Amino acid sequence: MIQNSATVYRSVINDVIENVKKDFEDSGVDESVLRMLHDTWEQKIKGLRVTAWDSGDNNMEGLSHNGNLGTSVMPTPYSQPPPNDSHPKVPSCDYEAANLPTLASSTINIDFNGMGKPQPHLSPMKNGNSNTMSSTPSTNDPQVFFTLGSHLDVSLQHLPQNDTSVGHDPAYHQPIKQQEVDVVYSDQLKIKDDRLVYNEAHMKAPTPPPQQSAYDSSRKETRGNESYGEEDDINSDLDDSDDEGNNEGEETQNIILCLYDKVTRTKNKWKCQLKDGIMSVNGRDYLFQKGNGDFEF
Amino acid sequence: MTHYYELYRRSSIGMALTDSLDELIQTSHIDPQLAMKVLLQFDKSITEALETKVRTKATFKAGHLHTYRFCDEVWTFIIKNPNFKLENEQVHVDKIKIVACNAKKPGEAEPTKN
Repeated sequence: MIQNSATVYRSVINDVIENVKKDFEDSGVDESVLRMLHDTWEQKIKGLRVTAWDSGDNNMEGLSHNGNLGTSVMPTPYSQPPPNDSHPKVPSCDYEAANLPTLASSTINIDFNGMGKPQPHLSPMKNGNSNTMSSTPSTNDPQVFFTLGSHLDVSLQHLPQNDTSVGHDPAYHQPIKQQEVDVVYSDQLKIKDDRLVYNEAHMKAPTPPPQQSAYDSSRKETRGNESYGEEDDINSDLDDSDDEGNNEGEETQNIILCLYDKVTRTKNKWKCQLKDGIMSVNGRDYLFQKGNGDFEF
Repeated sequence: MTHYYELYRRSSIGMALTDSLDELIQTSHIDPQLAMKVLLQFDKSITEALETKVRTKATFKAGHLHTYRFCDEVWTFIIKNPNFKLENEQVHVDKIKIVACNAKKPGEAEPTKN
């Protein structure tokens, strides 16, 4: 059963990777990046030890890979990772990845020399420690502003240093700082501000992708739906002590995500018919197709 | 295109994916738009996998329902000292939270079989 969840997870990973292949191609992103996503993802799940990953290895076909996946930047199994200069749209820059700003500005000639070299950061991913990377945007790279969700604040705080170190025209500092002050209270504006920063940092890169906000808000939704965490974060720390005793931590660890067919109550007796669940208990993941619950309130 | 719940993004496999995508965005390997597509695909893949690949039955009994909430078609339960049984395996836990979305999605023509 535990083995089962590893098998299912692995098939989900492979399914997702297989199905977004085209999207990656369409976006002009190298297949090696897709491979990197596969490896990082798998590595992270392994690192969580929620499932007996390795025991399921033999059953799996195709894409599954073991060993030092996380440290390989150029993975193998895809037919042929095309060299980066195979993207005609990308202006010739001396960093390897087809990154967003280059793509976004593909039709415009941008002089990257004026702003210092963006660091490509192609160094191997840090694996097994998901939080470290995301919570510390420690680079001088202006693209660090393209982090997601809650990290926006951090990015903003680092703004002046980033600008200086990347060697921007000092004239850019003024408006940015002003915005920084203006938008503290509104999440939406924060994102907007982020775009402005991004824009200026890249000297009129044509259109910042609106999808960032879509991506952001969807993440918020996902989190907010069940925890109401997002609103709490914004307004005050008083809201943190929610009714469910979030402080115990235990509560967030043991969780079942599922669908319900029916929930009924008679007096204080509750009956739930659940299905398609992922249950995370005591650091292990269990999957179930059907679940029946009888509880008393 | 059918809509899939984003619920499972909160699971360990979903969080692992989100973290991985975050890293790729931070290192400018992909843009958020592409990350969004990956997540949408994940919603689909995990939903289908749970529907088709999992056959385990679970029962939760004798728990004390500490909190219940029904909002926007989502049930949230906090249960203390439930007695879980998955097939032959007993799982003990002090407290667990259940987040459940409606199996019958709005607009879905045929209700899901039970």
